[in-house]
Amino acid sequence: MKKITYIEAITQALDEEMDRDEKVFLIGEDIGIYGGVFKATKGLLDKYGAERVIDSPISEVYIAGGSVGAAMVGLRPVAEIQFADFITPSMDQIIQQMAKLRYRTGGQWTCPMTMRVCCGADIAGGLYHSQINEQWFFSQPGLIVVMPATPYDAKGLLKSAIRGDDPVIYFEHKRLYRWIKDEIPEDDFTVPIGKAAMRKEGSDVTLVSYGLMYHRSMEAAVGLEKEGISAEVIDMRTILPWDREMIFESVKKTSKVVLVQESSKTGGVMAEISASITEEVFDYLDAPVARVCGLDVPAVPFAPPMEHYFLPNAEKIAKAVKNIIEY
Amino acid sequence: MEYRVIVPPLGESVVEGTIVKWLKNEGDTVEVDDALVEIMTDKINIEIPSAYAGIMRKHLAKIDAVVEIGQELAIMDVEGEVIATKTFSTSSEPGKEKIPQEQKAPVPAEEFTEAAAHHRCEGIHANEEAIDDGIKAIKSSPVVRRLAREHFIDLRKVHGTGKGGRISKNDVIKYIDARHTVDLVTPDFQFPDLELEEIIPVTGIRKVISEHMVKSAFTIPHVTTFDECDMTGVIAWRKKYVDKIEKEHGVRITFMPFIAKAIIFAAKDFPWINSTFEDDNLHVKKYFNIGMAVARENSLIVPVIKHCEQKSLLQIAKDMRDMADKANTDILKIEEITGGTISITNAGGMGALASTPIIAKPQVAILGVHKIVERAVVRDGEIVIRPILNFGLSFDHRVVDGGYAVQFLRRMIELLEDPDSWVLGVV
Repeated sequence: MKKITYIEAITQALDEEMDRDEKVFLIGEDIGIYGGVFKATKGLLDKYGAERVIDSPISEVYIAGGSVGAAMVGLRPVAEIQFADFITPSMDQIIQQMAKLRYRTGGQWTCPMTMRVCCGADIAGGLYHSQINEQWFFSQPGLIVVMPATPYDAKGLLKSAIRGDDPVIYFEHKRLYRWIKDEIPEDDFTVPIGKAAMRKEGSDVTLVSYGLMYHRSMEAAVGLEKEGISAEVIDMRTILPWDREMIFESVKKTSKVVLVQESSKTGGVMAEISASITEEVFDYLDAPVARVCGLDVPAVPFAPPMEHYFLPNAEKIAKAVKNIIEY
Repeated sequence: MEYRVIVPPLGESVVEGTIVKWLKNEGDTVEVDDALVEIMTDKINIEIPSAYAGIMRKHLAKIDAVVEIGQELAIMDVEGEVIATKTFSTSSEPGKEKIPQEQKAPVPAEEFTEAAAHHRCEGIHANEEAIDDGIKAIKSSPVVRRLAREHFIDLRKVHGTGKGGRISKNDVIKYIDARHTVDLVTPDFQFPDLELEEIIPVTGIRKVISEHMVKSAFTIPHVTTFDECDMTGVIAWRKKYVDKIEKEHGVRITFMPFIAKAIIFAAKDFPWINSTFEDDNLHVKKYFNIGMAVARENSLIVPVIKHCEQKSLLQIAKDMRDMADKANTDILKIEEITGGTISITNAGGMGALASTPIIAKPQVAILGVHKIVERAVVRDGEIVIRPILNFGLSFDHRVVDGGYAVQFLRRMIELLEDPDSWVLGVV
């Protein structure tokens, strides 16, 4: 076992899947000669050639639409959206074609493709290089949406996404690319879609999050433990379809829950999870469901103090926990 | 006040009795414990005592009427409150036993019955109304309300430690944990003259059983020998014929008639097993009157199947069924429960794997039959699964030697293990 970074895990998954299945190919902006702006595809052009590592024009709609077409004729495209901020031109292809293809053909056609979307703040990227917009895709049935938080999950989920027959929006958080290192097995492995990970067991409160926010939640939980508050930490890993069972069981146990999400609060993933908790396990709640989210402003601010003010962090999470613990 | 006299429980499995005579006529003055009426059951004649002093106003049943337990017998006028408590006891014919005083200690009626009912139904739990009122009165979370309903809690009694005294889930859990302790310190109610034990007089049939057991167990030196029987043969025979026989003759042959027959055949070589020991003489019987213990509610009776040596397997099965029916409906005659020469008791029906039965004096042997269990046994060097029945034979060691009894039991088992060698000829 070797310690690798989150972005190395992604490169390994792409390499291994391309090696395993010649139908797998990559398409995106600057992914070939340049090796990707974050170097996720470094070395793959040399290894697999320009037909399988395609430098696309600067056209997200083409990347998405071309991938859907390729998937329809039997290939397994892995498209890269350089920044989630620029995904909007491709929305028509994603929502109208990718998500609905299997449904509208009564299952005769599938769309076995993966769209890697580089997302997230906390890197002083400013308004147009910090966005995280998983909630747009979360509200579109027909799509699978994942967001790994560890190198192990980054590799395992990417492999599951490529091997599956349904379109997956694969969010990779740029703050995690080189920050988090994991020892991961050298043998082939996958991480199942739709299964959350119980990262820490606890008895007083449940923390639910994904992506970078999982690490912030865990940081909060470790601090709270020292103050005698036992927090259970769940990393959702897959956002759509989300692991209802694990979250509900945990809430039934602790009766208190704090939901943490990096993007703006209104209409976010955690709004849905909060509503589902009150629908399904209301009789187990001992305090209101709490959310710690990004602020409801048009974009992540550029100035570092303002960016930190915008983002959830361990301190904000711990405060929310104490608030409902004392409730 | 009006006091309605009812037929009290009349003893083991007795459901009714017949009025023999009224001992208090209408208009008579009655003292506490005075016998009011004599009732005859299949076992015994019982005088029903009065729980109150007063005047006998009206008889509700005539002489020779059959009355059921719980039926109203008479109306009396008594002074003061009447409570519906069950402090019944029956006095047996010869001894005319009095009701023990502690059984009918006067109790404050309502307080006692209410407290008892509360304890029985709800224990330390709050009633529904209190739970609802508590939930309405206290602002609480869904889980707290759910716990209040599930654990019968009046939330007004729970100390809240949340913001502004709010009750949290943990507060409720602590309350549940502490409730028993708390309630012991300040109980909701108290039994008057709290008794830590219930005293049940051993009378009637129970007393007779008790005396017989003591006499047998402490005058006869009992030894019990165990052996195991492979029931494969009998089971196969039954499987083959039992439905057919039942269809033709209306009786389902159980394992017991086989065992009875095997005793008879085995005793040809070991006759002393089938005997009685009386007045320093061993009466070795040339006939087989086999006692079959029948368990009944709270007691036991041993009807005797007479002259089994003259009866077929089918007839023994029929007699056994008839006797069991009679025992269960309490219509056994005295001659049907006496005169046994050897007994069988089946504890296997209830699951026993072994027992050391007590001999029915003056007989010298009793065979304990136990549950047939599939066991791994060795046959021809191979481990195979066989239905095994353990027998426990208790014998009177004054007159029967160990070797003799052991050989008898072995012989009996050999016969049972090979029923084809004898059974067809006698059906």
